[in-house]
Amino acid sequence: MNANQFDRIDQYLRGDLNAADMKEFEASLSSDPALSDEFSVQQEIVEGIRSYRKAQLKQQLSQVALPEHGGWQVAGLKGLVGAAVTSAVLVGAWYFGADTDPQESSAMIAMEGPAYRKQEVTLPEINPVEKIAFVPISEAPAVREEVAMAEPEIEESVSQPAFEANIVLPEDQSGAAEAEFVPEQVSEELRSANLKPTTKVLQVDNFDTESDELRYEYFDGKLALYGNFGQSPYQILEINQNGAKRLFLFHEDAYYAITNTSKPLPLVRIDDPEMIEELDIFKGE
Amino acid sequence: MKDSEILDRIRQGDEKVLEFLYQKHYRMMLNMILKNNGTEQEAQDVYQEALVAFWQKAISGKLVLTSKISTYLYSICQNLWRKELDRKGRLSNEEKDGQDFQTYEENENYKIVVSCIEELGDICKKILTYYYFEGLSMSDIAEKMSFANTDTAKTKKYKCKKRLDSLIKERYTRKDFFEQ
Repeated sequence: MNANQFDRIDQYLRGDLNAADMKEFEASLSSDPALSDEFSVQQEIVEGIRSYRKAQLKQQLSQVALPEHGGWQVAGLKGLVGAAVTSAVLVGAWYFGADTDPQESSAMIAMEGPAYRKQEVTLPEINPVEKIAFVPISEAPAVREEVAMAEPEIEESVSQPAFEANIVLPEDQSGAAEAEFVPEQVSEELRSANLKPTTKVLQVDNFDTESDELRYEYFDGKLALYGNFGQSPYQILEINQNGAKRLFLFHEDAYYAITNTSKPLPLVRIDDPEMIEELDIFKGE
Repeated sequence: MKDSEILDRIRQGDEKVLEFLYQKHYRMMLNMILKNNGTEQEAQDVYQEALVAFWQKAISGKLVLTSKISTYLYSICQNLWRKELDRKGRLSNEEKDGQDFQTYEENENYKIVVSCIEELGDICKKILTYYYFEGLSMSDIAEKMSFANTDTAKTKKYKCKKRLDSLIKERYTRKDFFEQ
């Protein structure tokens, strides 16, 4: 091994070689076993140096004081407020589905690519103990479904229920113009809490409405449902337990678990009778 | 602080800027990871990883920024978290198959190299990390380390690297590296 070869290894590992030199160097690696061996050792050493420096910077960052995230310490209570808003979203989706002529969906496919139906509902500030005004579907200006959700920040002294369920039920169709949701059971707790609403977005989209296969994708607070849910309403149950959030979809007398996934997965029906019983209780049946 | 000022200060090697960015956007990354089945600790790990990657690109001059820094960092965090979720999924399958997962930091080669780096002086540590991690040129290193010129930086780097190679090769055989 000569100094020139060491320099070449260095340049290769730093990405300093141009395409032609890189190719030439790789060719010499395959024809020269001694160079290839030394290259492997140098690769490990350089990787070690990089990881050492990375660990140094991360260690430095670990010493930085970070802002507390009070909003998430009360996931249960916040979730209930979220349920009210989610209710509005999904009821909206239901009515939209019920009132939409399948031909209209086809027209949208032609305009926007994938088959989907969306609407936009914006609720910028919501007092959780007040009735929630629901924007009539017929007046929704766009086909994007998006809801701004109030996130109460509650002082730590507020006691947090160990287990809370958020239940999303479609309202009676006659109330399509104005859906109302009053979380009566928690209204006292919410009234006594020091609530400072902030804004958070929950988004539910429905794609491939012609397909019989029901699938979902849930990532970064966005739920995409694929397939034809027909005229039956679907409901989303959000359960907060010790700060961990779990989502379930209820559709045509069956429950489906929604987990985080960035790829569309088939909806898998929950068959465990105990789980179904628990979910029935949370759903209020 | 404006994005342009942040980038300027990173190019000058001001590590305080990283701390500033860490504090400033932490909550945004935390919310994204908590919403996607992560924990606070995981959020910190992912965001630190993202910031280090950002630092490395920015200081080496390889960063072409087409969005705000916060947007760029958020997308790195999203990608890292997606990968981590995939890794967790694979890990759970490997556990079912009885396979073990080892992180790079648990790797013996890493431990060997780090133990030898620790024996180098501070100047050597800086030169080698500037050269191999930050990707600085010899003239940048000469300026940062207040060396007389680029040739001095080159000579120092050569000696430091040789010292590290010797430490590793004296104490460990090729077997340690390749037959784990």
